[in-house]
Order: sequence, then C-alpha cells, then structure tokens
Amino acid sequence: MKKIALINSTRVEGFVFLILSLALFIYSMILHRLSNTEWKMSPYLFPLVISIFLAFLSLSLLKEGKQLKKENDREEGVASNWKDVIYIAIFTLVYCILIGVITFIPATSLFLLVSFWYLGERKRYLILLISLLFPVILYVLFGMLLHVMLP
Amino acid sequence: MMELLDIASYFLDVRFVLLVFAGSVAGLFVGSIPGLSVSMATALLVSVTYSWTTTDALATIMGVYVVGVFSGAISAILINIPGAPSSVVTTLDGFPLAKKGEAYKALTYAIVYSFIGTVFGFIVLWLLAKPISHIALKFTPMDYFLLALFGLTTVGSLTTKHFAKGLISASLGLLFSMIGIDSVMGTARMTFGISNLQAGINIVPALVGLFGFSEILTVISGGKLEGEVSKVTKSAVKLTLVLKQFGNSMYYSALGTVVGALPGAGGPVAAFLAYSEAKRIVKNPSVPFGEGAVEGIVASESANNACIGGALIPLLTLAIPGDAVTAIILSVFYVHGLRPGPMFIKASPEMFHAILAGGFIGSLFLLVLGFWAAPRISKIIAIPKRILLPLVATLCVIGAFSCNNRMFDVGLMFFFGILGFFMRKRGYSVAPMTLAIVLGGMMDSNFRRAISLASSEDSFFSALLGRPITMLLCILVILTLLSNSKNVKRVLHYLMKRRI
Repeated sequence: MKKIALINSTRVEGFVFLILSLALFIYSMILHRLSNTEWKMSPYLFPLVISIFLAFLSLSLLKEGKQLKKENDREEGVASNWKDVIYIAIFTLVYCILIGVITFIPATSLFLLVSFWYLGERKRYLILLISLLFPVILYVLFGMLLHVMLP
Repeated sequence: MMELLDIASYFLDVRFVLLVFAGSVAGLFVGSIPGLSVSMATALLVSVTYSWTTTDALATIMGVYVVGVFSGAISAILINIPGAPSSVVTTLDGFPLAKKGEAYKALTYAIVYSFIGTVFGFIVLWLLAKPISHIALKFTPMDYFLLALFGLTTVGSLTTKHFAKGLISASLGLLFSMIGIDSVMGTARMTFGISNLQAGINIVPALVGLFGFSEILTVISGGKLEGEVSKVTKSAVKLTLVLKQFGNSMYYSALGTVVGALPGAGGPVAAFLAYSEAKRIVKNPSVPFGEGAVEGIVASESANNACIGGALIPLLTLAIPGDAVTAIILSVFYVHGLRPGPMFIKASPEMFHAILAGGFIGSLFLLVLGFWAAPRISKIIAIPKRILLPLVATLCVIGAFSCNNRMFDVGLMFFFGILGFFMRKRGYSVAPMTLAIVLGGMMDSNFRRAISLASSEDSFFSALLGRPITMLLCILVILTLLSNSKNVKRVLHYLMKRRI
C-alpha cells in the first residue's frame, strides 16, 4: 500500500508540473499576442521556452513513475515528523502576523516560549531566560549596533 | 607587486581584519553545528550587511565562508554528523579516530590541511582570474546564456539523484526570476496584479527561505533534536609528522580547485573524488581507510577547502556561481551595485583584492580558531536543536524583513521555506533553484539579445551558434544532458560490457 502511494506521488508530481507547463505556455502565448511585439523582443519568449522545457521534464517524471510501477521498484521513503513541522510552520506564521500587532520584542518572546515548550524543552527557567533575553539581544545587536530595521 | 601590496594593506586594516574575524567566529559556530549551514548563514548575512559598504560585507562573508567550510569537520569528527555536506567524507576516518581517543589528532590534521587547501585555492584564484577574464571578454550574449545553462544543467545533475528533478528545480527557479518588470521591454510579467511583485522576487527572502527556514523544518521533520559528543583530550601531535602529507595535499587541493570551478560540483564531490584518489595513491596508510586513516582526513579537508577559491573563479570572471554560497555572494554584489564578469577585476580591482585578502586572513583565523576553539566547542555542538531552531527561525524573519523593510518579504521567505522543505523531502535539490533565481534575469536578457542580433544577420543559425566558443558551450550543454539520460547511460554500460 505504501509502495503504491510512493509510486503514485512521482506520477502526481509529473502531472502537476505538466499542468503548470501547459498553463505557462498558454499564459505566454496569450500575453505575447496582447503585447503586440515581435517574438525576438517579447518578454514572454523566455517563459515560453521554459514552459516547453518543463513539459518535457514532467513527461520524463511521468515515465519514471510508470517504470517504477512496471519494474515493481520503490522509492526511498523518508520518515517524517509531520505534526511537528506543521505546528512549527503555524507558530512561525502566527509570529509573523503578531509582530505587526504587538511589536517585535513581545511577539518574539511569545514565539520562542511556545516553540521551546512544544519542541520538548522542559527547563522552565531556561525557557524564560532565553525567551526574554534573546529578543532584547537581537534588538540591541541588530536595531542599535548594526542599524538593521526590525519588523 | 602593486597588487601584492594592495592585498597586504588589508592585513593592516584593523576594521577589515576584525570583520573577517567576526565572520570567522560566526562561521566556526554555524559550520560546526549540524542543522545550520554556511549557505544559511551567508543568506542571513546578506540581509544584515545590506546597508554596509561592500568591502565590509565581503570581509564578513569571506570569514564565514572559509571557516564555515572547515568547521563542518569538527562535528564530523566529534559526533559523526558532518556540519556541512562537504565534510561527509571526513566522518569516514575522523570519527573512527575520535572513537579511539584521538579526536585531537584528527582535528589537528583537519585544521592544518583545511588551511593548506584554502590558501592553495585562493592562490589559484589570484593567478587564474585575470587570464580567464581576458577570454571571457570575447563572449557574446549567446555564450553567456549557454554558460549559465551549462551551470544549471551541471548543478541539476550533481545535486540530486534524479536529473529530471534537478532540472525541474532549475526551471522553477527560472520561472520565479521572470516575475516582475521585464528589464528589456519594461512590461510587468507574472505579477497577477500584486503590486509588491512588480519589483520581482527579492533574492534575499528567497535564499533565507530556501536555505534557512526550509532547513529548520527539515531538521524538525527528522526528529533527532539532540546529540552526543566525543571527548577531546589534548595530546601532543608532532607538526613534522602532520606535514608529511603536504605533497599529497597539493594534489588533492588541485583536484578540489578544479571541481570547485565547475558550476554545481562543490565541496562534497571534491572531497569524494580526493578520497578515492587517496585510496588509489596511498599504498600504505597509517591504518586502513575507513578505520581512522589520517590520509583520508587530509584528502577530504584539502579538497573541500580548496573548492572555495575554485568556486570564486567563475563567479568573479563570468558571473556564474560555482555553488550555493557563491550564488549568495553574487547577490551581495548585485545588492551593492557591482557587476561581476570579465570587466570586474579591471573595473573594481579593490573588490578583487578585498576578496583575496578576506580569504587569506580568513584562512589564518581558521588556524587560530581551529586550534584554540575547536577542542572547546564540543559543548556548543551539543546545544539541543529544540533550543537552537526557534532562535534561527527568528533570525530568518529578521533577515527577510531587513532587506526591504516590508512584511511582504517575510511572507515570501515563509513561502520559499515551505517550498524548499517539500522539495527536499521529495528529492528536489534547492541549489539549482537558487542558481536559477540568481541567473534567470541575466539568461533572459542575453537570450533575447542573442536572438535579436542573430535575426538581423543573413544566416540566423550560423550567427547564433557559429562561433567556436558558442559551439564548444553548446556541445558541453548537450553532453551534460545526454550523459545524464538513462537511455544513453544504458547504451554506454552495454558497450562497456561488450568491450570487456
């Protein structure tokens, strides 16, 4: 069952890239016609070339997926901790949004606090120390010494 | 002579030396902590050094680059996890030696031969950059296009198991580079009405996302958030004994420089190649290879550090980066309004000298920091990733924001981070995409210029592809594509078998 899922994913990728290349091809053709320029100067010439190239590559992926199925071969599956990845991605996204609302230092402290705890750190004094101190260090180092604008 | 004095003057510039030192210290930590990479650090540095002078930015980046490549060996020796991909081969003999209680000996060999390799690579860069620039002056727009294409195809073939996936990664990168106002006609392309995209995809958030944030997610998905470290006890290692390998290291360094100059090959390929050569030429190693032979460490470390100078040759003379870090360095040049290429050394000799001086000073700090800090760094390598990764995530956000001071770039960084993560998971290397994003604009404008020039000639194809350099580059691209085709490989394999 797992084997079939992995094999299918290669073919799905091939199919997605094929659709992308077709969309890019149509986009380039239509917008070139609307731009009223010769092909040699057209801004859509290069995207058109890429779309053709991408189409061949996606066909090669589809073929590879088919061969894998035929030869009863399998791809290497990598064990993934998806739940943690999704949570950290969400935390980061919320952090980016929060920066605009509660400003940099509080948002960073909150993000670090939650992330440390979620990833398994249980030393409360360490979590608090780093979460409170690190944003201040960043603020002083980047904002004041290196003159880098902070969000 | 004047050139030598010019380079030497940087050694007396306290500010320059201190910036190289700061970069070296950062490189030492970044390179030695698995999960953090030199490319990630350089990408973050581009945004920090945005408002600095070019010389200051280059000094810091050269420090990070030189010491960061070496320090991958520290974790390779102490915890059997290479801090950088180019140190993978060092684990083969470095870790067995550390397990025998000789970690300090392994580190000494790694430090000395990383230094020798780096210096060798920069001397070659110094000697060869000018002659190559003279040849590059004869290049036409089509040649530049083909050269960049050759770079992308070789990167695609060397960084992934599946050639098609490497090329798809490059194609997507080219697509991203097309977004924004077209440089030739001034038309907005693929912006889909989003005004923030009119200036194009900024390279900094793309790099920070592809190398920084995606790496964080990849490490988290791996699940191993802790590590064990071998003990380092200082023991006397005779320098005369260490330097016995000097002759061989010159050969490995030469190999490393050549491999580094090939677009996309980089440190890991150089180290593997040098290691297999070491196995061939060293008949009587100290102990068998793979069981703690210092000859293996010498080969790997000389070659991967010599790659640095090699990778800078095509970057400075042709504006074609040799690896991911040099692609990021290219963006530093663009950010500071400099244009690497055939005229670069003539037009901006002070920048060329600053790079050379940064490399040489960085290699000296490699020696100093290597001997002083490497044995003490074991505690820092052991920092749990559950602490380290959220800290790096905040740096990614700052890095993405600071290039244009807009939250849109943070969103871009997030997008490229997620994209990079899925690409890595599915076996698509992010290196071809990075190179393509950097080179895409140049490829597009040169391609159209070449077509436009050729179409005004009587014979279109001979005007486009008739010159010897163009034909040679065409052949190189075709050979790279064919040599990676499974059918061609099958035929070659069959022919070889028949011959045997």
